[in-house]
Amino acid sequence: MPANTFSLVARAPAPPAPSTAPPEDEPALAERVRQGDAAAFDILVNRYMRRAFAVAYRLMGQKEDAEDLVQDAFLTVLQRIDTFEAGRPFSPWFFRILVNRGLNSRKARSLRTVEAIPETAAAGGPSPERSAERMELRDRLAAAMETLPERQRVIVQLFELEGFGGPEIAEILEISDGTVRWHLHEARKTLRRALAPYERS
Amino acid sequence: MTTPDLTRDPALSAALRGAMGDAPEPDWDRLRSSVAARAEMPLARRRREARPRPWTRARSLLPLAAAAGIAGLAISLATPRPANPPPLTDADRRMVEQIVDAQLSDVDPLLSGEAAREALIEAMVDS
Repeated sequence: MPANTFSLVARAPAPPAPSTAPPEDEPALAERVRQGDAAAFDILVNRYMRRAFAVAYRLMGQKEDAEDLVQDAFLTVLQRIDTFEAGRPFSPWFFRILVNRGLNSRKARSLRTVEAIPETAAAGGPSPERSAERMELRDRLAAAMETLPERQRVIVQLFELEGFGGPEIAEILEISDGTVRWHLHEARKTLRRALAPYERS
Repeated sequence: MTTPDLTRDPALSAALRGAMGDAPEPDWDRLRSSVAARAEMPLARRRREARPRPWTRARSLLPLAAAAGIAGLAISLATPRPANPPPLTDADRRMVEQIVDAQLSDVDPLLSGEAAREALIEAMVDS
């Protein structure tokens, strides 16, 4: 698919860079947290808070719920730090906690997944006709996201919007890398079908 | 199940971003403080658990000490005690007094310095 296929949608800021290798100090930090070291816990919180909130917001769709989820995830880290294996990267372990708890909360609260769609595409003062077209496109895409199976939706959100890599998503969701690829492929097919009427010839 | 290549699709990402919107900015300081406040008690609990307790080791030795005590008691009960000696008669008492007096009469000159060096050596050899 060419890069300008969906040119009706204004370019949003680039997603965060894909996660890098885990910092080497994380096993030591985790060990210090295990001993109750508040300073070590603060370092981990500061390191992961922004990304945690972004993922939480994608999952929950509301700012307040995302904040609650972030807090909940960090507290769960404290409860379960004894189960963290020192030789493994901290990031997938942490995001697994966050995603699982987020999905459980969503089920429990039966939340809407998407808030009112922001007017980010309206910049530049397009004509009313084009504005209406953009609104329609956004609605269609949001609706298509809602039709995706939960796992596919989460994979699309983590990969396309939050910049997680395939192996990292596989570790977060505890599935194989191949399964991530397959779900992403299927999700993209669904989303592209939804966007087909807007494709430039 | 096919496993297509996992490459990012910038156009789809941008379309999704446009549809879903970017995550809003929360009040980071408030969120951070909130996490820190809620983490205070669990962290304190962990610090307390991690602190070494000197009596913990002693407590682990308590069963051993109890077993040793019981064994000592059993051994002392099982060991036959010598029968009580018969009480002293008046004759026995007199004899003991005589012996003590006789020995003191030998030692007195030594203690007072009256005895000669030879007598001292003799007394030492006799004893």
